[in-house]
Amino acid sequence: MADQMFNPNRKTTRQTERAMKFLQAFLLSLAAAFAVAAPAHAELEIDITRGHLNPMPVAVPDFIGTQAQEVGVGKQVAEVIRANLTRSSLFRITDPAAYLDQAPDVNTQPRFGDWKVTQAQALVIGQSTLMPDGRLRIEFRLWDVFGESEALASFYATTPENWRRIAHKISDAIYKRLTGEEGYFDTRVVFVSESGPRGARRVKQLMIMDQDGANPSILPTGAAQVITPRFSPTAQQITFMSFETGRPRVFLYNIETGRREVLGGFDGMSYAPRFSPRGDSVVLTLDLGGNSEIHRMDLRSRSVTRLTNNPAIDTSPSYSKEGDQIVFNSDRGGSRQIYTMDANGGNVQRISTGDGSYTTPVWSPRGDLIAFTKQSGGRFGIGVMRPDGSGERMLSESYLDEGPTWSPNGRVIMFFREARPGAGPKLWSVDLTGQNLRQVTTPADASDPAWSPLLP
Amino acid sequence: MRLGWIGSVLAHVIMLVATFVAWPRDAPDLPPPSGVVPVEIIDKITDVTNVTAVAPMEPETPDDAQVAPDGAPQAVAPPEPDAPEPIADPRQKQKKQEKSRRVVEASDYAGFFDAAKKNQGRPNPSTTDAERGERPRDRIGAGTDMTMTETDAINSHVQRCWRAPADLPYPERLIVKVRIRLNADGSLAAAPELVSPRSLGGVDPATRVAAEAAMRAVRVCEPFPVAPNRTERVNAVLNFDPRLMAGAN
Repeated sequence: MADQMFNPNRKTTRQTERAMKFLQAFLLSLAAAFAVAAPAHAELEIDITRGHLNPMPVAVPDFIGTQAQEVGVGKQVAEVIRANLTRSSLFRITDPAAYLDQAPDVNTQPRFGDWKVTQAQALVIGQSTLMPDGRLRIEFRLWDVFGESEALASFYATTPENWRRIAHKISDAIYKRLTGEEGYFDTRVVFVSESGPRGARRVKQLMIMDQDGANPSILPTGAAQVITPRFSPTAQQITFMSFETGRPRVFLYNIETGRREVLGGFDGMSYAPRFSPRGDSVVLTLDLGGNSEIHRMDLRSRSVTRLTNNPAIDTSPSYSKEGDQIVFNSDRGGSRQIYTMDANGGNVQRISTGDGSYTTPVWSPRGDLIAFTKQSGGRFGIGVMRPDGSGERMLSESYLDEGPTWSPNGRVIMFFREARPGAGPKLWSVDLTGQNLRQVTTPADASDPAWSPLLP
Repeated sequence: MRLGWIGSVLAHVIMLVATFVAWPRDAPDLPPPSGVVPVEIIDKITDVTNVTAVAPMEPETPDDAQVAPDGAPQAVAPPEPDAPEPIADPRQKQKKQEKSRRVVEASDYAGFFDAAKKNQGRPNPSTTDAERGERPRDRIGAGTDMTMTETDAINSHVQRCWRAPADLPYPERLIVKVRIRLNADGSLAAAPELVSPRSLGGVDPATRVAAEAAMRAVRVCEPFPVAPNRTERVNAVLNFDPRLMAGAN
């Protein structure tokens, strides 16, 4: 009876013991697992939150060639690449006198030890070859010197006279590989070339050139005075304003075909045109009965929609990257300030808050900033602010800095400067650091630059 | 209702009075502190100290040569004429090694290692360890962790080699972790290892550029500044975080 009474208890005790043993084993194995894993978790981490912003040292020796023409082209291509990279201020070309390693051809792995001595962190080795069909083949390899590995390799073939395009394309490829952003070297700039006496008899005609100032040529847009050219972000097409018909009118011009047409047969003046991000519509200002308002014109249907409705002057519209907002300039608040609105004209908000007068706002193709001209204290400067108006900072200032246009990657701004009264306008570029201010060479005085998208 | 209200007031009063009542302390008064108690700040709790000894326990042992500061003339007792030279040889060998490796400019980190170098001399017998606030201690364990002095020196060193990707938007995607394994002389014992992102495949171009910039910084930075008396390899993960520099360019 007693056994029977105690049996269940004994069973329970045994079960408890077994459970305890299991638990013990489990805990032991857990502890062992932690003991093994502990060293990995205990690894020391050092936070590096500060670095430098110095240009990256890059070596670009002359491209290799065997025939004299190949050697000549190889030297020119390398020179253009070196100039492009240096001008961006993100790279520094190392001294060619220190280049010890002479690669026999582009397919030979460089001696990295020799290049490390030059402090170069990236190395571009290229080769130019004249092909039997008369075309030029240029190939290159980009090497990571300290990683001792190839970062990029590519080749291009074209007619020999097109070698500059190849140099720009290689520069863009290197720029993108080393910075993570699109390049802007294979682009062109349209601008107003000015010559002759100042005043009404001054000749103003449109010119186009490579972004580095090479290959300038006159665009046959007509004999009349032209101003405010603007590039389509998607095609080799521009709009500009011409006085050909006696009063200012907006024209559309295809650079490839030379085709030219008036945009809209409005009664009043039309000016300040700018393309939408997709290039399928244009926003512009129409002066109807003395009141300037912003309108959108669909380039396919040519239908026009009025976007602003205010007795003040509303002008200089520019689309955001996504095309859902427009930034513009208005004096509705008493002085000329920058406003944003939705693409349909609603939700108007003033974003500029500083002293002075703000004009010509242009939305960055990257979408993160708006460039503008600011007049303050008798001087003009180019500045940038965020789309909500915060973070305003000036990048340049002089007697007259005006008319900003963005590089297609949104890192460089070109504008025109009149350094002192009567000096004549010249083109300048500055990047977002504000430290890399450079004059762009043009054949004559130049104003109103417009930067193209990357060429196809 | 009223009773409850009165009870509540009474209870509050009793509690208030109770706060003024204290029992006598049964713990005796502690004696006043007799000196500075040395405190070692550690970043994790383990059974053993795992940092390299700051100073040797026996300063006059031949091992001293291994931690001799560069350029510091040392009085070496001339060896016995008939005795072999067990002490002089390792010392010369060590000096040769010191010359052969590319040592980071001593002036750069002089401040960091001053304290360590001072401790290499004979300790002043007139001061006790407690009074100096620091006591020489021997390493226990693998010695693969860094001292705070070393991490500071490495941080400062790497900052000069790292071209921060400050130009790119959305910097939170550009944080990169790289594991480094250093020899006792500060050279890389193995190629730097990418910890995060795990690989360069499939990441967006900006993250890839950021990862490459971090790896390049490690390679350009070699050799790293380590404590002069380090004898063991050391591991660490460098966490390259450009968020504070975003918009600086």
